[in-house]
Amino acid sequence: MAPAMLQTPHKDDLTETWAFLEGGIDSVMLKLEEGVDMKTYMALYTAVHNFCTSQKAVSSYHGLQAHRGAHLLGEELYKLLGEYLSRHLQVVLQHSKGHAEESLLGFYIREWTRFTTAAKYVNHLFSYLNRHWVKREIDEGKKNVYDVYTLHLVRWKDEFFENVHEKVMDAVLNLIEKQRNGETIEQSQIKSIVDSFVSLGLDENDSKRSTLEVYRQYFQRPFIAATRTYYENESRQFVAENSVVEYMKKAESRLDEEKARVGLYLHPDVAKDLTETCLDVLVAAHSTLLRDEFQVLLDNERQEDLARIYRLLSRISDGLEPLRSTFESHVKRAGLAAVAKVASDSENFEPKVYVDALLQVHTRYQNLVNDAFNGDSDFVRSLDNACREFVNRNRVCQESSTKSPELLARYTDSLLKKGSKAAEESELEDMLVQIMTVFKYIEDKDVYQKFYSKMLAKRLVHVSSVSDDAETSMISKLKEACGFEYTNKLQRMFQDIQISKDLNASYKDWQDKVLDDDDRKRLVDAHYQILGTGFWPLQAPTSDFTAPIEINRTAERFSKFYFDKHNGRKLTWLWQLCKGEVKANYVKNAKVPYTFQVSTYQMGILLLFNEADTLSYTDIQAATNLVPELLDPNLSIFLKARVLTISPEGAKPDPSATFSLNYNFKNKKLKVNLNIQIKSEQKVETDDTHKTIEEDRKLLLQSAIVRIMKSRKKMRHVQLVNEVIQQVKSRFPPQVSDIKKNIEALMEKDYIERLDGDEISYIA
Amino acid sequence: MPKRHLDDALVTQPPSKRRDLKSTPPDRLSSLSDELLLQILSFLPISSLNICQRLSRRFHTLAGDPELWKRQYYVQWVRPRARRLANVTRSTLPSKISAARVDYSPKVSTWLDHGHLTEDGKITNWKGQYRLRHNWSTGVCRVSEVKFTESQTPPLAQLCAGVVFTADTVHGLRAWAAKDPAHCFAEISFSDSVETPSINPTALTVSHFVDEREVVVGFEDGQACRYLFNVRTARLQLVSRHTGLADGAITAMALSSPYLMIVSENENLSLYNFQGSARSSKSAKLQKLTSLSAANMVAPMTLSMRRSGVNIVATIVYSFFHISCGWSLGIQELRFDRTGQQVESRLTSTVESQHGTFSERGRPESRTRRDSVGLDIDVDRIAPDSGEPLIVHLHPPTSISYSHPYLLTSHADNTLTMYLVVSDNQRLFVRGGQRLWGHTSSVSAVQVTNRGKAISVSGRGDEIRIWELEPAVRSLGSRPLLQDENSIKVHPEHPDRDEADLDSAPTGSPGDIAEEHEVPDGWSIIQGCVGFDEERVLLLREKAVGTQLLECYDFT
Amino acid sequence: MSSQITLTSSDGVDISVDRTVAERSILIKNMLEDLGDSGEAIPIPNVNEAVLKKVIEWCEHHKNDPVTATDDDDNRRKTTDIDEWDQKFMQVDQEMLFEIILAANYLDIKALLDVGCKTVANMIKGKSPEEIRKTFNIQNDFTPEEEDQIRRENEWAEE
Repeated sequence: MAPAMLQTPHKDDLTETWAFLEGGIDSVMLKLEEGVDMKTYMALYTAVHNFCTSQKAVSSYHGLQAHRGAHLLGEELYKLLGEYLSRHLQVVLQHSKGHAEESLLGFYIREWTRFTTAAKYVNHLFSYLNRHWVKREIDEGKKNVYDVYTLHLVRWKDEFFENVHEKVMDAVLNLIEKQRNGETIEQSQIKSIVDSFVSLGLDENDSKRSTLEVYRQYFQRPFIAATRTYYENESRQFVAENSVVEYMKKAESRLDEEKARVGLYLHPDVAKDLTETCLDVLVAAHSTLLRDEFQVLLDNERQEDLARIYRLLSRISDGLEPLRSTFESHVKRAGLAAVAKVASDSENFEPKVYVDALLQVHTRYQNLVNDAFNGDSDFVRSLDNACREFVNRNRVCQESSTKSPELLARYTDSLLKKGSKAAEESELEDMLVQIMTVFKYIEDKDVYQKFYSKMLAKRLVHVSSVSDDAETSMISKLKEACGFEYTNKLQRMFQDIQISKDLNASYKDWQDKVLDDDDRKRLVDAHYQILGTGFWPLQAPTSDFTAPIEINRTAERFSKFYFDKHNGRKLTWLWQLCKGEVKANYVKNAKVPYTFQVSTYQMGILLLFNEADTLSYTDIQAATNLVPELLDPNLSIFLKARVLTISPEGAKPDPSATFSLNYNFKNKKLKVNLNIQIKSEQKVETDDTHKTIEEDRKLLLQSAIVRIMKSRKKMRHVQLVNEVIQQVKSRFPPQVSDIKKNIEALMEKDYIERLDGDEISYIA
Repeated sequence: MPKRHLDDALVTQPPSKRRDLKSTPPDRLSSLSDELLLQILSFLPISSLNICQRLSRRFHTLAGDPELWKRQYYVQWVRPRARRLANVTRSTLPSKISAARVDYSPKVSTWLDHGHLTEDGKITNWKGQYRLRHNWSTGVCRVSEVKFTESQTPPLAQLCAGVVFTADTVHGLRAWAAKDPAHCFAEISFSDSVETPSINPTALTVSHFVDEREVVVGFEDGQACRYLFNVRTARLQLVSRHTGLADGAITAMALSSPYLMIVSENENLSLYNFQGSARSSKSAKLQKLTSLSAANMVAPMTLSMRRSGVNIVATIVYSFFHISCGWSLGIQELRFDRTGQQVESRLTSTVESQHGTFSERGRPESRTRRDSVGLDIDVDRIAPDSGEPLIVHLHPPTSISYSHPYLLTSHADNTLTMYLVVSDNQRLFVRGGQRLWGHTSSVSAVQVTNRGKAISVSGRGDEIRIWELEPAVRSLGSRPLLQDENSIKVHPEHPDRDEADLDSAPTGSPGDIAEEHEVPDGWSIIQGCVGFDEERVLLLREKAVGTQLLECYDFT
Repeated sequence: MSSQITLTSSDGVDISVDRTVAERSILIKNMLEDLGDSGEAIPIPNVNEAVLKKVIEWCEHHKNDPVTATDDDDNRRKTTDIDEWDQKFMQVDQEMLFEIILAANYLDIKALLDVGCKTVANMIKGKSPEEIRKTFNIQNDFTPEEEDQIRRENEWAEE
């Protein structure tokens, strides 16, 4: 550098000072790579300082108008610097015209880097101006005065940027398009352009802060528009040439790619707009196509593709709604078809087959929801809706909706009864859990309850439960699902059995004390169960019965013991449920006597033969007091097992027949079970259960009505009906006509009365 | 390298200073550049700044520097309030004011309510502003008087944004410069506009546009005339005349263009819209929006119109006698939407507040009790009908002024009473009631602005007090007030002829300016407070029967 | 980080100083940032040896002070109190006092500039106009009428 340059200009002389500064700025702006030495640097700073501090003769006499205040120097330098920058940028602009596309980007970035680096230097060289004149102008609220660095940016924007940004953006967008088409590009170029655009966002109100306005307007907007066009074209073409599944894969990979693009070289601010645009063009625009494909994929169980369609549509608003209804009706159809198949395969299918069919459909689609639909709660709801439909309204339930709960209860019974196939305890527990899955969808929960309690009673009375643990587990599951009230009776039944065990123990002690030797010799080894009338779904015997003397004596003794303990209670002997064993000592050719397992009724008949080998039908009837409906089938069992023989031979039991003990009885087993359930009994039982269900429902409805009216006193009819539905819904879906009938019934009984209009009132 | 050379260039003093150096030691201070001197001056208190202005022309300019005084202004007048608001905000109020800066910022727009002091491209005289605030805060002002020619009926007067309007039978409507009350801008005789020339004006109301003031004068026969005054051309011009607006003399009016509210001597209240009426037509018909007959209205009363969102809110505040707490105020609020359709009408009164039982609706925290000094409100414990009311007025107020949310009454018992009106979409009620002590004689007039600055005048006009009510509101119900904090007595200086001459505009005919401020006892009655603005207070005074003076208290 | 650099005063004297000390001057700090430390002596064309040494003395003493963050710090202005060491430091003749102020302003050492300005402000405070004029040899260029007018204009704040 020429030594003359070091000569600081005369501080009062603007022209001289500026000429000196301009030379310095020129070398910073154009030849910074050659370096600036300290002397020049200090000389330039000093020139600015000296100019600003020079005490020029105060221009004019203001009078005494003091409030105009101090006059700081520097405005001329600021103006000249601004003009210099404009001139410089005009030259840059001229040069830029020789460049296009990537070469223009390179030029822009080069000039931008050079310019901003120089700006930082100049800002320091002019820092005295910043500290005083500029600061004061800003304090006074003057607009369009910036610190020197910002002045550079403002000029760049006004003089250069405004004239080239379109061309620059075109080049940027072309580059990005190339990359989208799979070419490799110089990403860092775009990154530099983004940074430059962001830097140009100046906050008019606070020069220390920046806004993204410039970037948003000049970069983001065209970029988003180009992205939209690009993907509109691409997706339209792709869809035309490829399958929907292929398209979905393409769309997903494009979405990922664009997301990555933000991290690579864009400003994070663009992420939201970019994603929205891509989703709009790639997903929303083709959503009908995707939805149509959904049914196809369901039919073909293409889980992976279903998951893909879910992922795509879940990202646009309201994208999934149509899928849900498609899914719901699909599951419903699948369930109905499964049941129809069961029904058509055989007339009398096992309950297990039916329940398994239901479960299978449920499991399949639950897995789909979890794996493909991310456990989406709305899809879970659709699944539930569909299951509820096909569990309660299918071909098996055509005649009566109570068929489903009945079958489910029978299946439960088959699992909990001794001899079930599910031997493993854990396996049994799993199956109970599955039962609860179906139970959840059952609408007539009261029907299930009825059947379940009937069968539980039988299991308990006949001591045929697979295990107490399994029974308790099931009861607690039902309790969890339906509440205490639902399982109250079941639990009481269970308790009665436990209490009875203790009672028998203390009865034995009592017997030991009370009985004499003679008594003891003729003692029948008996076990008693005391069942609370209100809790057990059992009826008193339908027939009179005169128990054999041995039994009678035992029974009376127990009654005595019991009444001593619980004065005032009443015991009814449920002979139809009692059973025992008798030893057949009479049989010839038997080293060890046979043991017959028999019902009390059968015992009553057999023991008669202790006194006579042959008895007439009327003798037997007179001695046992059994009605023919019970007597005949039991006699038939004896005949069939050849315990008794009939005369005339081959006749059916009827009043004219006589029966003889068969001394030549033979059987492979030593223990012969003659206590076989009679077919007709089973049928009657089922019908009875259905009848009691109807009765119970009536009671439930009436008690609900009374309960509501008691608390509300007055209510409109419609309201009452709705309220009743709400209350009993958890047990069974009531018919409005039934509710109305029961309201009428209660009016007749004067619980409630009809007031004027639609209102109903409670009668206290 | 030529170091020597360089030194010479840098160290050399201007030749003139060099010469001084020979005789006396140099004035090194004055040789500093402006920015350094400002830096030094920025460490000085205002008293020193005023002294420095007397040193030399250069110092006169620098020590009067607006940026310097701007900072002083902030420190003295803005920051204490910002601190107070910040504290209140922290404890009770949410957001909004919390933006108040406690640190100095040269950006006036970030100061609390001071944005109006800076206009783009203009240099604000911050020293002048500082001094104005200083004078208000100490009650220092100059007083000047304008004498009206005698007239039988007292003239009406209103101050609106720098212009005083007066109306009397003899001279008609006149506009005066508030800055210089001796100077009458314009005059328009009523005989040009009304049919019966000697008719008396009975009510006057003014509203303010950019360069225009709209004036409506009501007359004793129920007609009203609308005038426009243009500030630039100083022209007063009749716009339209409306007859039969009231069935008797118009006693009060409020104007919020295009709505005009009128009360007649027969206690009828009507609201008109002159939106449709052309500005030039000589007798246009006004559209009547609503009218009420108010049986219970006893003077004094006050009307107010304001905009609240898209609605126009017209409020009538009147006094009535309540059996348990004496004279109370009733507040009726009518809301109109933009089309002039009445939205609702609501009513409340100060009775609850006077009992100290104003319900705390919308103020969830139940306040803890502390000993109440007689004047304090609060006191939730007192049930509505039990116990004595805290504020009892045995005589009707001497004047009422309402500028939302501030409602003030003046009383013959040397006190003022302040209420706060809460009015939002849901409710209208009065919060707090507070006696303001300070006057030593009967108070005859009070006027308040919506910024909480109030002026009150004693009956004989010898005591004028300035009230800053904002701090009082903040402390409402939180601690007893120290009365001295709230009002300042105005101490007019004896008008000084020399000083008056120094003022930029030399005074005109001295005959019109009464230089003697001291008014002999017994023949001066204050007619009312005409108004006040940022710089001055105007009072109307009757010196002898039929001789009216307009007094101007100038705080600049 | 305590490399030494050399400053050359306007009268050609080289003074060696810790870089951290020298960087109390924002001017020197910026320059070293821009140009890097080439080991060359840094010319300080506006400050002579005596003043530069004085300034360096101050910087040495204050080298561990935190750099004040905001330039519009109110607390800075609230008081003209000066700490003891600085008071002693500023006990120099007027010529030196003003030279220090000029140098601090030139070198951009804000805290030192403040100390200097406060010192001058303290010389003004509490004095009558005549006393101030005498202290600094300020020439009264008012007409008597003007002076009288200004006196009255400013009476309101004389407490």
